[in-house]
Amino acid sequence: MADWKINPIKEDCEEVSEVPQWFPLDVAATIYPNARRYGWCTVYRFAFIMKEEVDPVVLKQALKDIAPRFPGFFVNVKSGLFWYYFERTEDLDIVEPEDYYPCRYIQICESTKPAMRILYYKNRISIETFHAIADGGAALVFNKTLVARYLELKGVKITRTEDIANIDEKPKKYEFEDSFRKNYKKMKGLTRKEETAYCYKAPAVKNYYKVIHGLIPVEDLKAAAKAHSMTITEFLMVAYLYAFYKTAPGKVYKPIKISIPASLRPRFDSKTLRNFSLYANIGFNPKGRTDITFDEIFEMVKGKMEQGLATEELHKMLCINARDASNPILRVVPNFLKKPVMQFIFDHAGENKFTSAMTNLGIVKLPPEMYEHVERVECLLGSSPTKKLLCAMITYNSMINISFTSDSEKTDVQREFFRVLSERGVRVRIECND
Amino acid sequence: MRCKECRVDLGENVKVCPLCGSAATDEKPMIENMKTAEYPEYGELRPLKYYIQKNDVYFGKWMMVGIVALSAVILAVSEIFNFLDTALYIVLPAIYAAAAIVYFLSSFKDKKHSRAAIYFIMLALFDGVITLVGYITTKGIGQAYFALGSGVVALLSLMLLATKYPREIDDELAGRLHR
Repeated sequence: MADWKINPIKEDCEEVSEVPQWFPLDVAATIYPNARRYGWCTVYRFAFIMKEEVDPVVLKQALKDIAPRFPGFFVNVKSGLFWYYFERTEDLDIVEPEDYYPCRYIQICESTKPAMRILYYKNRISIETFHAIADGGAALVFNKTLVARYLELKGVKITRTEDIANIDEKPKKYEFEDSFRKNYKKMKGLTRKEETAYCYKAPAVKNYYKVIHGLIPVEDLKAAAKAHSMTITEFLMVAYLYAFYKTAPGKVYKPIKISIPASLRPRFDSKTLRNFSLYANIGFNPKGRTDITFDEIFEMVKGKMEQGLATEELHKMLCINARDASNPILRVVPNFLKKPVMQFIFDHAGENKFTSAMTNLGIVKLPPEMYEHVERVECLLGSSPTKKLLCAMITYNSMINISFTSDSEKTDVQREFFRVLSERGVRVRIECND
Repeated sequence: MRCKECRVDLGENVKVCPLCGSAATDEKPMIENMKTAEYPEYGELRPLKYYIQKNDVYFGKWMMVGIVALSAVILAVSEIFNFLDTALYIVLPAIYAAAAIVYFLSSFKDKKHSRAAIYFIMLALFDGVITLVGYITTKGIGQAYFALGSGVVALLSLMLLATKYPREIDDELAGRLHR
């Protein structure tokens, strides 16, 4: 997903004078509270590694200062009669020391706190968010603004650039927009039909979450990808597919597919600070073959990514999601009846269509003064009930940080993935939380 | 430190490669000037309940669950002991009217007073169904006067609350009904 700017203000940007206490979930967000289970919900983390130890008192103050600018983030999900909805909360007591595995469960519905938390440990500031609130692109704006304010309070003069939000301004109306509904068009013949993907299995460890970071210089990846006539994203995707293929316990007859999310903001000219991204599942079917090479996989998936992430394809998927969320029958079914159905849809019409996800948050740009104080930026995907391994990457300061997360101790795919890269001359530095 | 097997750099004090488990070798890293971003020692694995805190939940939800359960029990018992009409047209509307009054009074005390709005609508809905049943079975309003009255009590309570907290009630209903 590409980084995007917040500050170039549209001329029609009507400021929000009063944010309602309640507001509905956007189309993409509706699935998240429904899909949650006891002890699990979709959480992701952004972490900023500072050059100096984090001061929690200043961090709390920074959060307090930016809160009025981002009212859409200080919400929790509540269960209505027919739908879940957001309820605003004034409770800012969400800054706490990090003392447990990343992306742990965030309590929703019964909590009075926002569905997010901010953690600190030594030089690391981590912001964990429940996915219903916003997608990675929007959360990154919030997170960058929080860190910028933190540094300001520490005495660093930050130039106001378009990369962070101006906290002296009021929230804008377009930041609350449900861009799915706005861009919905009635279309015929839309279907979710897709082949079930190969399932990567690994024994889960309870209350455990392994993170493996691979730090890679962008120049190395560029050179390696160029040698194979691929783009960096294609190269990494093929390496990931290859890693699953090579580590499969036997012959694979189902397609190995990676879910690649894409931000819809630049394509549909949206500046919403809610969810507005979709994905394409890209992969290949080995059909029992065991001798497929890295380059052969590229030949098989060539063009699929371009096709899958084409605006027309994403628009179709946007329309399917918006259509289903507006279904009049679904709207009148009480929430307690809808939840199991939505959970079934999540498991069987979404999660089982891909083997793993690989999200690319793109290049993080910060105001120039911040580069002297921020060492590294990380992004982690929280666990999934069905996916045993997930991957997120983010680029900052000419380094790509590829983070694998798993609730299993198994590391075969990660090992194969990084070996594929190092065998092709890419320098890799591995760090782990365990 | 480096891992010879995986051909990757490792952190400064790493003894074992996190990818393959083989011993790290003391070699110069390929990528220079990198410092490990430390994670905390997690210590003991904590059960989930450690993190789940019960915050004050508006009591109305549980009262409504109780009312629905009580209604079901009364209807079941009345069927057996042959007082279905009394239960349906007198006992249940009386319970709903009493509940509406309790919701109304408590909503002035509770910080989350606006939450009662949805329960007034639910009570009015229950009363409405009973009134409709009464109307159909007796071809007139007949024995459903109590239910009709109880429904009016619920709606009146909602209206009074909305007069005092118009914005909150509007927001509440917008959220609840996904307007």
